[in-house]
Amino acid sequence: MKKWKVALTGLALSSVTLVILSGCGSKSTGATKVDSNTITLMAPDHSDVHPKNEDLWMWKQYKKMSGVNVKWETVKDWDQKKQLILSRKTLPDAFYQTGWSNDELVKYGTQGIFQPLEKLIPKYAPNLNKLMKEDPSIKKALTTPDGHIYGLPYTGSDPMGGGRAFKLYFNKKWLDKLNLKAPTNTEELEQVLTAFVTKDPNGNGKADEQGYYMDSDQFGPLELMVKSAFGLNSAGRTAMENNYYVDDNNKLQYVFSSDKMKEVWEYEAELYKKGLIAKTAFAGVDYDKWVADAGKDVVGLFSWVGRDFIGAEAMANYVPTTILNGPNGQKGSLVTQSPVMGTSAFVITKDAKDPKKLLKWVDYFYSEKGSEFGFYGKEGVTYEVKDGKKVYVDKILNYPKGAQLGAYQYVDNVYAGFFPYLEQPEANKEIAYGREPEVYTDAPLDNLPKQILPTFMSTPDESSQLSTITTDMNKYVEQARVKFVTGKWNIDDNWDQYISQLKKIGLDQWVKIRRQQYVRYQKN
Amino acid sequence: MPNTTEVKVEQSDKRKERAKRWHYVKRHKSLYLMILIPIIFVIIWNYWPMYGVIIAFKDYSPAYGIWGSPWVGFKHFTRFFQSYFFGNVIWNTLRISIYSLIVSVPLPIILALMFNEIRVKWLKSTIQTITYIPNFISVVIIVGMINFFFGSQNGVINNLVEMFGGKSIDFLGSSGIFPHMYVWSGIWQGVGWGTLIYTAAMSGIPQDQYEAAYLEGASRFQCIKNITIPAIMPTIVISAILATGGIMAVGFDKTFLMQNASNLSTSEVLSTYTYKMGLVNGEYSFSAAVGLFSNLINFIFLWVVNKFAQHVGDTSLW
Repeated sequence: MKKWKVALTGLALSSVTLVILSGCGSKSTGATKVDSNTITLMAPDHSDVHPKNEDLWMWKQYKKMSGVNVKWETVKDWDQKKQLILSRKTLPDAFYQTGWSNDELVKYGTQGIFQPLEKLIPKYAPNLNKLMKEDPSIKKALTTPDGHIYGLPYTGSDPMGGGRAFKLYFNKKWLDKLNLKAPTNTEELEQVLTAFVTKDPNGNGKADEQGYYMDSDQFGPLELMVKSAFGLNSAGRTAMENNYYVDDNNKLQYVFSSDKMKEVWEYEAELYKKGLIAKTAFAGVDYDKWVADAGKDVVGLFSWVGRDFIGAEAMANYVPTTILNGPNGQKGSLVTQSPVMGTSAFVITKDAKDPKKLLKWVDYFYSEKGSEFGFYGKEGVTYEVKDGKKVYVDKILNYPKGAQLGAYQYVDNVYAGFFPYLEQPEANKEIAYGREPEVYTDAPLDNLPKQILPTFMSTPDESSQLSTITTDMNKYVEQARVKFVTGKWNIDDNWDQYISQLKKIGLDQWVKIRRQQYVRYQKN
Repeated sequence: MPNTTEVKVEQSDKRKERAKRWHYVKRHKSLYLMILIPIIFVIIWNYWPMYGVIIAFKDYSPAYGIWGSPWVGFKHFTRFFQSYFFGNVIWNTLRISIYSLIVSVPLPIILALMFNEIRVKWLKSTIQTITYIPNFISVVIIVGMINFFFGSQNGVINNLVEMFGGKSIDFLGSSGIFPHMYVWSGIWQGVGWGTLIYTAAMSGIPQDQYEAAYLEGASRFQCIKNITIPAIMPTIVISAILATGGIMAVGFDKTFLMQNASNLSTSEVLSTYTYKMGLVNGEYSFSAAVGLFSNLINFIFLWVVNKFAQHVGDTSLW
């Protein structure tokens, strides 16, 4: 009988392991609710760069102010884990600052995992409601095809704020040395870049200067600016990033099959041929190498939403131009996003017992006061007023790794992201960090896009059709772009064939669905 | 009419047999207990998760769970087969893996044969160790090294080319060169490690065979051809069969890291495509369907090659 015992123990042990293993998957922390004044929030884990949420100065302060106790659960690698988290038996009351795509909002909203909020917002979120009244495009961007709102926005009214606008950053030293002005249109851009690469502006006697040079994944930013110059920015940056624009007859069109795109690629191919775009534009340079090269003063032009992308060392040397105009007096416009920069900043789940309380809690940050509190903190503690302007206190300004990260040790809304906040204007933020606000070579607000469309909300049926076509078309366009720009394909010879391939993938169906969504959006 | 005594004898024989078998099991109980551990391991980690494969035939949503999600039949498979890039992706996958198979099966054998002929012991073990080392470098670093050596701007190789007046070659961004880069960097990394199994097989060859051949006046090449290769033939066949079982499985990490917009037309393989279509968009059912499909192809290849090996020689997997 003894051996049986051994065998049985073995089996028992292994089944215990099984239970433990399967237990891991459905472990729930949301279930331990203490009292009715506690809410449970799930947020991404940033504890590697700032204090844990429960220890963050701002949240301790807000607990006193709101009287609501927050039980935080933070998650690393959110994108990989979010689906797993949804399969839990009990969900947290709400997801704070976590990314869900519009498709996911609709999908899980319809399946009853997320709660519809459109009826509660007017009553329990007066500040957000006010914003939505002032700017109807906010509500439009949040509303799903069946009229629900499942997520609260990260929003801001400054077209330059919160990383909304792409700019061209020129090497100021080189411009000065060659006695050149920052270009305003595509022709001048070509001239300036030619001077950059041929006249040895860094003065080392070697022809190591590059024109447009970024790491190899970043050809898109330049193309956005050029697209705007050729008239494809009529519906703003978000629309361009979703590959649509609106033509003169108010009809939605696919960007990459338009004749304007043909001009864009022709222009880019010209730059590439003349060596004004780095030969490594599509392969071979990673971000670290690029930043290192920027330190050697070989970067003439890059494009991004903020100059700090090129590294703290080199950033002071770059001056931003916000609008690139086309040839022959064609006007470009500011490449800026919809005021709704995130649609899922705060999502309330089916397991929230008291959604009103959650809404009230988060609504504060959509007020002017709450927005300031989320960014500046409290006067005398985290900021001081100097010459009528709010500047962080010295312990933040002198933080070893920079003022921005310093502020993040106290307050939450520092790095634009999926925050449920009203964003502060960009210039104020720069001043708060003790920096001079960026001085543009032109006037960004002079020419805004005619309208700024968000990413449309799709019905589940639309999104399942779109996702295949979009993935395939994007892939095909990516390959075609390389061939057109590097000159492997000739625009005139290969364009028709390129369009016919797009049609094969499903261009017409895509345009049909997107048009339908645009009509729905206008009616909303 | 059956003979009753015979039946009885038969039954008692069976009983005896069973008792004997049980006795045998009892006698070797510790061995059986030992094998229980891997069996449980395989059940938990390899067979139990297979239950999840059914999401390939469902519209999986975490809200409903694996079992509760609605059945959709072959919807995801048809979507995959009808997708524009289906042919391109399958072709890229097959091209890389067949290319890699053709090179990576014989090369370790040749290298192992060369090792076997080195008579100076310390030299042999030093060289072997050196060839193993790349195997322990992580993929990310390998790709970093590839960029460092083959970059079109300041890459070591291109610097040399330019120094001798040549024109810089776009190794990383060329779709034509990608399969070579992928396969040969894999060879560089794995060839030493790949010799291990053959070295082990060679060490099992009795020395007297070589001595006898030597006395008969056989040359080294004759020894290799007539003694070493026949002796390791079963190992060669088995590892070749196993290699074909991974024909649709071009590694994700390295491909994904080496991929860029300009080599996409040859570097998009099944695994990276699945990642983009399925995981990035959160479509688990679709990914599961593609995964199941490629495993099916792998299994068919394995089966066919194994049958072929059975037919031609006498070594095979089962």
